[in-house]
Amino acid sequence: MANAAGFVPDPKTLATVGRLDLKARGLVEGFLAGMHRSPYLGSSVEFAQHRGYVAGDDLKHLDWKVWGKNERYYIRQYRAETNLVAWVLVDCSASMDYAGAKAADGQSKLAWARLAAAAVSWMVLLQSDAVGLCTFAGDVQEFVPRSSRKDHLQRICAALETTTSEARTGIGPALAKAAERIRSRGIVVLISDLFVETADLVKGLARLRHDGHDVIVIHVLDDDELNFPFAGQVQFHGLELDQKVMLNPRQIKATYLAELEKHITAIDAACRGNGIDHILASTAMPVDVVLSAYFNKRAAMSSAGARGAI
Amino acid sequence: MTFLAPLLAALAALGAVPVIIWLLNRNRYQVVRWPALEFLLRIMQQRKRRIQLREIILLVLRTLAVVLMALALARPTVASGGLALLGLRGGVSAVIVLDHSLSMAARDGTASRLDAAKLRAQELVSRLPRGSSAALVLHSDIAVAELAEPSQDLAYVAQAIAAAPQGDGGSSVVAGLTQALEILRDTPGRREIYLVGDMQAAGWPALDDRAWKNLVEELAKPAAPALFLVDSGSTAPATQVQVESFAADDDLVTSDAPTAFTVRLRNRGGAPVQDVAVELWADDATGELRKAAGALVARLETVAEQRLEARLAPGLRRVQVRLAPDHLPGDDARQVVVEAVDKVRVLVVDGAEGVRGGGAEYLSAALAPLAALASGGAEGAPADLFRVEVIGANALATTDLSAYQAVILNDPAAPSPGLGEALRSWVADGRGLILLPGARASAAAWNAVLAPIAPAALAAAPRELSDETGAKGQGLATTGLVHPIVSFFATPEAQPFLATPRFWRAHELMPASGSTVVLRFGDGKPALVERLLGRGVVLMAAFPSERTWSDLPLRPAFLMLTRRMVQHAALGNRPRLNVRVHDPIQLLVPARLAGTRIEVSDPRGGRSVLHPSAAADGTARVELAESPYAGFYHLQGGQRSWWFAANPPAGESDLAALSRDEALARLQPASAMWIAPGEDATGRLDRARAGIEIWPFLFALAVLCLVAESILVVKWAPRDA
Repeated sequence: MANAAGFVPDPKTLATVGRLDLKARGLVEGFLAGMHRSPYLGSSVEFAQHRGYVAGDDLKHLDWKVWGKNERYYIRQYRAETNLVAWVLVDCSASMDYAGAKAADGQSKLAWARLAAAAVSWMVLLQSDAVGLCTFAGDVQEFVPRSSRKDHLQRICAALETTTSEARTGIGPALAKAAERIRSRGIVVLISDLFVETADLVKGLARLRHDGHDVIVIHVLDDDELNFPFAGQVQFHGLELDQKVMLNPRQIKATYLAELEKHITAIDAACRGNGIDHILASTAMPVDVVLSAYFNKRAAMSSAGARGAI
Repeated sequence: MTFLAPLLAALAALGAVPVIIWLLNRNRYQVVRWPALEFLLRIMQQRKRRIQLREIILLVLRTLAVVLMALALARPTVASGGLALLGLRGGVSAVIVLDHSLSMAARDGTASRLDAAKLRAQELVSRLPRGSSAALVLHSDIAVAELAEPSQDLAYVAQAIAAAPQGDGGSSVVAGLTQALEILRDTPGRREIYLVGDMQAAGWPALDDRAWKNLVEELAKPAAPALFLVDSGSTAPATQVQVESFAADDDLVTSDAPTAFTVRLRNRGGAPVQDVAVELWADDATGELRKAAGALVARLETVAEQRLEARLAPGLRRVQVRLAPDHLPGDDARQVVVEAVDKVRVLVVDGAEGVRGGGAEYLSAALAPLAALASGGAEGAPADLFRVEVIGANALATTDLSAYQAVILNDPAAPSPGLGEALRSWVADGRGLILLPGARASAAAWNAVLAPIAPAALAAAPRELSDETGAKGQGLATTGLVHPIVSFFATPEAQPFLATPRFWRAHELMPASGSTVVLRFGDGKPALVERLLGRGVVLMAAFPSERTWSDLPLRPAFLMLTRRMVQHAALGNRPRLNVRVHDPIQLLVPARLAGTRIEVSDPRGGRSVLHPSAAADGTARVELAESPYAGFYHLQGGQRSWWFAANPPAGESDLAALSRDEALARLQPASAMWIAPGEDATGRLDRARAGIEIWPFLFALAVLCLVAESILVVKWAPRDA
């Protein structure tokens, strides 16, 4: 998929992901009619329901057949098909530069995130929806406006390719700045390792939710981070912190894993609290497996009609 | 702590291996650029101390396990000194048994054996482990605990060793070791006995000696103190002549004739000695020792006897024989004290008063022959030793006996009542009574009246004597002649004199308790019995001085026996004037001296004071518990003085020493370590003090460390999530 010469999405992955129908789960505002239903009820071709007439309603939506039978005024409402706008936010902080031994194809978290971002973008474009890209670390690095053109993928891939990792100052401000540039409501897919302060992260995610976005957090970690498989004496150098620590990993493995579990649980709880899907992914797993699993699950939940199908 | 395999103790250096591995591992690490360093920093902040502590604990346990294992391989042993590490008493309790017998005075050049032994003993004391204590026993033929309790002040012990005097006694290893065992009996911890001396063979008893057997059994016990035989050197001198014995030929010495002394010389050296000068010294009437006689032994092979004569003044006289000093001066002189008898007034109470040819005449003729020849009267001429007076039995009650030194009751018929008690006090004051019962003596009357003083009771009737063939008459026994009265007859030359007289009749004597049989008939029945009474002596014969019962008055033996009996009786209950070194000196003095001061001067100028204690028999007793040195002892008090002589045992001059193997063999089944002269025994002593092997303990500790390390490693190991 990705290689050192440049970033090109793996066609196989893209094909696998592309066969999935990405369905919006909530209310998405869009311009183009398509396979996605609008979160708003209004005039359209597909009847949704009646409601009582109130003063000011357009008389053209008055259902005269009901008046004729019951002599009551009801307004006909229709479910409108809307276009999806998806924003992919990719964390390019230095911590994303880690590539463990078990990572699929030896790719770093950033490489995995690039691929996932491209895959999601391509999937959205295949559905004739619009997709935009924003990469960030301490600040917004690259911002690619939304577009539904198929060749828009080239631009997104180019932006991803030029992105380099850099030190992070905080995810909250970065997400806030990204939110300012995302005008249209839609789905925001955040791909990050989330080695940040949970409170800071929650603040950023809340801002996106406040703007009406449906947020999906793909929490990508390396297998080393998830299992801490080191042995012997190891000196850990910080990727973002200019510090080092010498230790025997076996001595602190349990504690580390407990701390990590606590961290992930806190993020998961914060996401749930804000109606955000939190997907924990390992770079040891191929991107397509992760995305397929998630979107299958999301489709199943949509069919159940809890919050409307995606 | 010492090691039986000390080289393996070097393996303890392997204890550094875990530390080295730990240090190497600290420098051999993998570098990982890590995203979530905040996590690790936070964790390390919380757990750094605990992790470091655990690392140190595990490292210590591993190191300990290796070190303990290596030490266990080296077979360490811990003595009581090592036990101090465990909080128990450290050091050893030692007893230095220093031989200061006469043989230790032998000199080889300038230093004596005792000097060398002292240096050796001080060296041993200085090398005792820290925390040790030592006692000091000086032994010759007796043991004296100079330091009866082990002292931790070893400098003081060394001083006591340096101050140990040269003794003149014999040597007895049994005495020294027994005393040392007694000192260490209840002493805890490791105990050691150092027998320091010349290992003189004469000091070691025969293997079948009961005391030696008991001692060896005691030393062979597992918990017995360790024994070290420290040979301080025993090179035998090339020439050594000893005065082996020296005594007057006769125990009864008179001042009226020269006294003969026999000196027995023994050459202990390896080669004959030429021209050995022997000098006899005796004190004159002024009390000064002067050379009285001399002789030259031209060639002394092994043993030679020399006879010397000297006329002695009356009273207690010191006589000494001297040789030229050689390598062992202590045996080049020997001394005796003799009491030369001057004029003795004797009262003969004649039972056959007025009868011509009676016993009194025989007695007078025997005691004062010159007077008898001159005048036929009882008044002795000046040349006679004895001045004899004869009275009838009836006159005894009215006679003042205080002027007589001896009284002879020759067959009085019936002693007057009260005579026994009267004679008792007279005898107890230091005089002699001789009872010669004969035909006139009534057994009942004699037994009744003289019971308080008589050495024996008389049987109801005299007995008729016959020899083993049934023939009439019986002689005197010539065996067991040890009493001073009869010892003169012990020689083969004199025995026929005693054997010749024939006795046809005699009283049967039944000795009283405490009496001594001096002479017996051929059939073993007592012929002469002695009883000591206060300071006096009572002799009782089974026959009178009569021809009717025996032919003794006609025989030369009568003269000898009568004079010796009277002389002995007149001297009273004499103290033992000549003793062996370390024997007590005892003296009976008049009762009036009880509680007064008796000043004692020993041969080396030491002075002490004794106080006579009253005895039940009307006398007072003085006793010097020990005579530590050879030479003359002078006792003075109550305007009187007494001399005593002490001599070392003759065998002490035999300087032959036991070899290592001989000494160790004699100690079997006990064991000992032999330390040769000049040997630096520090290492051997350390090994001997090794004590108990503790490798099992160390091995168990090592295993315990490994088990603990394993448990902790498992306990502290990270749980895989």
